Amino acid sequence: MWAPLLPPLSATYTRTQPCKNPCQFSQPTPAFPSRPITPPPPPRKMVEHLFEDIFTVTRLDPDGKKFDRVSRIEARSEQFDMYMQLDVATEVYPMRAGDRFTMVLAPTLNLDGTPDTGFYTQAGRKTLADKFDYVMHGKLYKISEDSSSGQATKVEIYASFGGLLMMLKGDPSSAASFELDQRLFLLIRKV
Amino acid sequence: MARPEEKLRCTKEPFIEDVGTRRIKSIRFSMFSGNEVRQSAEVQVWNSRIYNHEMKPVPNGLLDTRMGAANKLGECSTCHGSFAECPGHFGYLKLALPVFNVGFFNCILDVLKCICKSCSRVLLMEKDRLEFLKKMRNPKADPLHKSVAKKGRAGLIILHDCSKTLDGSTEELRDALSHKKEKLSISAVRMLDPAIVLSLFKRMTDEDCELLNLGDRPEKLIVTEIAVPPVPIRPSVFVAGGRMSNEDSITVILKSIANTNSILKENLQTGGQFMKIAGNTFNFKLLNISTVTHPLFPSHNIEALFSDSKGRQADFVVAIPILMARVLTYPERVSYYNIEKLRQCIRNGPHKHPGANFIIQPDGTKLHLKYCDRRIAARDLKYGCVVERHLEDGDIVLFNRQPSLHRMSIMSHRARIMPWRTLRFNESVCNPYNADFDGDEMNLHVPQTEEARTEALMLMGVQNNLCTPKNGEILVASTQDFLTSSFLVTRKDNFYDRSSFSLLCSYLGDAMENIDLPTPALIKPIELWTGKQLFSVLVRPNACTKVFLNLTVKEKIYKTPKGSTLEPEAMCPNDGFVYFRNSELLSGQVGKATLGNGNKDGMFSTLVRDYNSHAAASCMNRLAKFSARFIGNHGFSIGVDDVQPGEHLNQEKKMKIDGGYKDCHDLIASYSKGALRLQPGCNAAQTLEQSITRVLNEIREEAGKVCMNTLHWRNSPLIMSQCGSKGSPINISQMVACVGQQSVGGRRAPNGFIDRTLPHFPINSKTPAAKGFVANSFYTGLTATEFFFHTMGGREGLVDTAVKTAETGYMSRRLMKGLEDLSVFYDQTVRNASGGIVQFLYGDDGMDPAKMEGKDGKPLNLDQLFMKVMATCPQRGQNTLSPGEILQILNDKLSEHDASSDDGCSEKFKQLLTYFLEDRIKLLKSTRRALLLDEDHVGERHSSFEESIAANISGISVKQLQVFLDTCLSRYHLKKIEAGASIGAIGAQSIGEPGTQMTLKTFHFAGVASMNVTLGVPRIKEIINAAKKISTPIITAELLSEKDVLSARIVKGSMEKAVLGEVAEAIKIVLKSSQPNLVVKLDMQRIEALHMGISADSVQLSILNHPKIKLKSEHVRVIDKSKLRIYPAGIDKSKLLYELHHLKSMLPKVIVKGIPTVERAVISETGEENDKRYKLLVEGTNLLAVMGTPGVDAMKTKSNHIMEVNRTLGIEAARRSIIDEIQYTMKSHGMNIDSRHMMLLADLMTYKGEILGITRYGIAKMKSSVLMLASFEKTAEHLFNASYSGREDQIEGVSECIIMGIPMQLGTGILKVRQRLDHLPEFKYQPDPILA
Repeated sequence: MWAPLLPPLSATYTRTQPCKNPCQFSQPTPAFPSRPITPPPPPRKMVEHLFEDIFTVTRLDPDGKKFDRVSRIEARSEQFDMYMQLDVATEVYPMRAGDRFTMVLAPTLNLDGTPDTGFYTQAGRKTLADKFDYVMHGKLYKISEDSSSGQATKVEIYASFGGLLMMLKGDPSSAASFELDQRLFLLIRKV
Repeated sequence: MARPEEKLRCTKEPFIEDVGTRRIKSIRFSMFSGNEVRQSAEVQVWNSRIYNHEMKPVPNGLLDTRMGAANKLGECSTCHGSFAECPGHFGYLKLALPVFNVGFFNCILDVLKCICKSCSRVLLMEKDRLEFLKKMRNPKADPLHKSVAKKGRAGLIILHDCSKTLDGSTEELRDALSHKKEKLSISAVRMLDPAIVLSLFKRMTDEDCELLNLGDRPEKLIVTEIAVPPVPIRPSVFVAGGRMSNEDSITVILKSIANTNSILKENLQTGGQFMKIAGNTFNFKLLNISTVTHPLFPSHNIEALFSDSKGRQADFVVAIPILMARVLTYPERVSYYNIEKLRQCIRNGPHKHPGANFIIQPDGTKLHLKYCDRRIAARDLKYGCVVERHLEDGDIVLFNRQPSLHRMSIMSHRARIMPWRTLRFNESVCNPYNADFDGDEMNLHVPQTEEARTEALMLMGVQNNLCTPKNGEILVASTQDFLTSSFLVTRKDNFYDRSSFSLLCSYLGDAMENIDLPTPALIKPIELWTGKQLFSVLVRPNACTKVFLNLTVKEKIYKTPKGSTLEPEAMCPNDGFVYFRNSELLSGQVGKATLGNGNKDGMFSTLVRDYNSHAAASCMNRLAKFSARFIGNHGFSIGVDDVQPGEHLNQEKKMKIDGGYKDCHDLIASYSKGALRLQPGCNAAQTLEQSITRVLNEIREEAGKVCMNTLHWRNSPLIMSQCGSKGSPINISQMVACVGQQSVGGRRAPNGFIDRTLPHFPINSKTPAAKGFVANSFYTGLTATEFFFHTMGGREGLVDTAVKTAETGYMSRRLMKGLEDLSVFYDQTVRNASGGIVQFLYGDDGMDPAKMEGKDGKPLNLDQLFMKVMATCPQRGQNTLSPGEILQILNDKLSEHDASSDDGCSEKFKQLLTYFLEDRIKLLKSTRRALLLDEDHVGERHSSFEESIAANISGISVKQLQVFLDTCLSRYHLKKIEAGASIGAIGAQSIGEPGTQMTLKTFHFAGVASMNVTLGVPRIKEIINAAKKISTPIITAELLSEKDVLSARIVKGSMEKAVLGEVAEAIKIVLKSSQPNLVVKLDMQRIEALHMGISADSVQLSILNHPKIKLKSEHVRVIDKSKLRIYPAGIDKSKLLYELHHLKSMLPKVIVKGIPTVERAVISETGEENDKRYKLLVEGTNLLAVMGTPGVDAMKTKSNHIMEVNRTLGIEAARRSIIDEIQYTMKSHGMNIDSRHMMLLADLMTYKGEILGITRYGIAKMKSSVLMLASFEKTAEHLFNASYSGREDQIEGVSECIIMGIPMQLGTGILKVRQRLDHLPEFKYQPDPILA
């Protein structure tokens, strides 16, 4: 009745290098989001991540398992004591409660910090992603404050990676470098 | 010397609307006198024979050739035209004796009643006569008033007659009533035959005629000559080899008249019996209608109506089979650009598809391509010829499906010629036509001129009708499979690798579009794209498409997780929150709320509003193409395994049903013991029914819930119900778990046998199974009795739909007739065809309901718009505004705008805008408070990280605010209604069309159980008919102290009627020798308990005021405060006992308290547990008394009885209550209609100062046009009355214009393009003459 939409993934699962096909855009077309353009970040010399911390998965699927190939993980960070909900494609990158992982949010994958063009190139350059196992690309769509708990106000950062959502909650100071409508890369490596 | 007027010189001949040489401006109705008939006739008819022995028409017979040709062979001997050319000529038939015209019979009676039967003067005193004459001559009084004045006088005459100041009171033939009155004078009865009446009428003075509202001489009311209609309208057919002829029914009637007439004439000449005349009159009955109505309509001046405008490409296509395309043609003029194409068409001829059927030469000759050499014809084709070519791709066609309930039932599409035998079109357009594919038939029309094509494309194109004017919701939107496949593809765990994602992207178009591949959502460990990214590509395929969709929608599956009060929004665990930001689908599984119809903030509505209909249409097309191809490959089907219940569900269901049944049995047991706790306003049986129904419904719901929870997410019915493409949770749970209670007429199954539903059950059984509860599911199968109950419920549905269609159809027709000629004028008023103002400003704000974006007819959805502005116009590091600055900018903008030329915007809208921004400011402040920043003063953005976070969360920059305000204001002005909009017709359709969908559910409970309110079509009918008596009148009385139950009970007690029998302990007859009497003892305990405030004094008053008990105060004596003694009034001893018993039977029925018209009052409570509010629902009438009851807040008390509201509170209150009541009825059927339509209807019903129903009587008072009324109902009556009073009909309304074939003054017809034709200076090649 329901044939799986994907080819069986187990064969390609361990492949780390993206395939070598040239980029399909030969002529220089305008950047995909021609308007609005995210504000160019102030020029920096060194690669600076927006956020980096080590998390521990506390729970899988807090509201029950709703999807076969995606799970929502709840995690807490060690350094900044952040709370995170994140949808992870567990079929390609399994996660269990108790796993520890490093998570990095970066505006670009380029090691020299040049801003992301919005185009995805598959040229075999060295990128930030090389050091990580699981990389997602998406957009920061909402920042809000949470003062419901009664304690110190926390700031929530929401991002969507093609429908896989992330909510990061923590101290306002850690949210300072984020901007609305920013392109984000989420990189995870288990430790 | 005047020079002949020069014609304007144009390079191209301009299109001039051809209204013919003469245009009918008005029609005057009058009567034909005998002379006039004779003058207009060509021949006198006296011979009753039709054909002579040679089968030639007899001269002076009924088929005399001078009246035209009787069949194709004949020739008119007056004008020598053939059957096709000559329209015929009238003849006349002279009657031997005058005859009453049946149509005018009542008028003749009225006139006779008003005049003296000997001197023919009006029966009025000279003074009165002059006064009435003055009134009649008042030019301002409209024709309706005049007739009212006439009636008043008729009353006067009767008085006059009775006093017998005049002698010889004569009587009309059938006036039986006055016959009796006149019995005193034996000789008074005199028959007034037509001849006498004619002579009476002839003697009447002109002034008296005027007084009687006669438009013409009264003698014309009596027929002396009959006009014989032309032969061609009553053709004669030869049968049986030309030896016999078959005559038209008119001819047959005329023949019998001619026959009788000749016999009569003979008799008169020979002095025969007179009695035959009476029989004669009846003969003319049939005739008159046909003869008299015919001459009223001039036969010329019927013109086709065209108008011109410009067109634009449309996207919606209808596939037309080649078979049809060969028959349907379009006359295309040959020009330089198309001559080769048309030559090829001609060569192909009528049988090969891109062919042609006819060529029309410039001289007007028509060449059929079937019967000529097509090669030669193609070779000889010249510029200027017109070729009737077959329909080809891209032609404009009108597509229609009956019943055409609203204007979207006929729309223009582009044709696409395809093989096979069906019409095919985009599934998205099924909704406006209400079409499905179970064998529906549809009609196709081809406009035949360029002007008509353009107009069709501009006004009727699918693209221009995406939104319904009913409420501004989108009507053309994705349905069925499109929703399913979108739902499937945007599921959160759908991932595609490069090849499959590219394949799906290629489904979007026909390889004609560039598609930018987005960055994959997952880069490592493997690149994968998600289904949501595919949807983002669908909305905005490439960077050149400048469409930035911004919206949030909560889908059906959206749920807040248990235990949380916070809205999870996008983080919804079910992924039910659809969030588009700059055309990127961030979250949410899209379904019907996003893509489907009936939603104002779905994807397509937002595209129509923020961009244009083209953006929406192209997106819809992409989705349609994608869906069809995707689901074709993916597959989606349903099978038995989809409805198989699991073990868990079976157990749960068994438990639930057992539990429910036990509850029911307990209830029944306590009912039979009489121990049931009663519900307010119900008796024991009603309470039992309600409790059982509640329990049984719970069972079904619980079973359904369990069933929905246990189904796998891949279950096809579940998917369909979740995305909204088909089916509801109830349908699924009926298939899987439990069918539930079957209802007939809103109750459990009725007792069709003696005291039981079916003979399978014991008598008087009230168990769930015996009253139609179906515990089985469709999967497990129904038992025999369950099946019978199910058919009962099913039959009710069928009967209901069958009955409703006829009823709503008539309602729609009446609404349309009432509202057809209302339109918006250039001064924004709504007027009827004769210029009478119905509304000063359409809908109180002059906005177009089709363009309203917000809920409840608000012009804009500010939340969505603000979100869009914030997303598409980012802050880019600019500083944000402080609360004070925001308000300052708003006020500046509004005042600047007010001063500008386009007369500002309504106060309501300004208020809406201000409130919205104030809410934003509140948010801003709360953010700043939470981040420990100064609330009212905003610092530099980069001064601290808190400032920058606050700016990101809820900051508004100057630019953003300005863009927002500018968009709001400019869009507000685009939403004003256009002058000429035929808003009446649209309103009628908007109210009539939803009527057809109102099925079942004719009742519902008004807040409290057991108080029913009529709903559905019957209720709408009551309102529209302005019914004097409605089936469920309910007054909602607000209380002064609304939180106090006790006061509510007291008020209730004082309203509900109590009869003496209820409050009396005893009514006894006391027989004593002195004076026998009746003793009434009041039950003071009960009175106290119910706070009724009844005492013996008040009872005494009530008894005295009772209309049937005729007692005086001395007969009713108060003994103490609970005792009364009543003495019979009669002194007659013999009847004393009888009198006493009579009194005893009367007394218990005396109303001692309350409002007699109130059936009962029920306290309804609303609000939370500790903050309950009470109000009274009063069943019955007499609003005034209810409002006057102490403790009732009269200001807030409402009634649903419109006529009563009008009587009590006046016409404005009645108008309001019409609007509210229709809106309420529609809302309770889940239908949302813009209140502007209701306002228009209510205004039409009330603008004359009284409430006029949309019925034959009401419409007659609203409209002055005779033709319009005649085209509605009682055609003959209206026409006869009009000719009696000589009414003149200005041809201005819609119906009149259609009858006369004149373009109407509505819509595009409201304006005429006029060109000033100045004398053009003649260019001279010679010097001016020296001497002029």
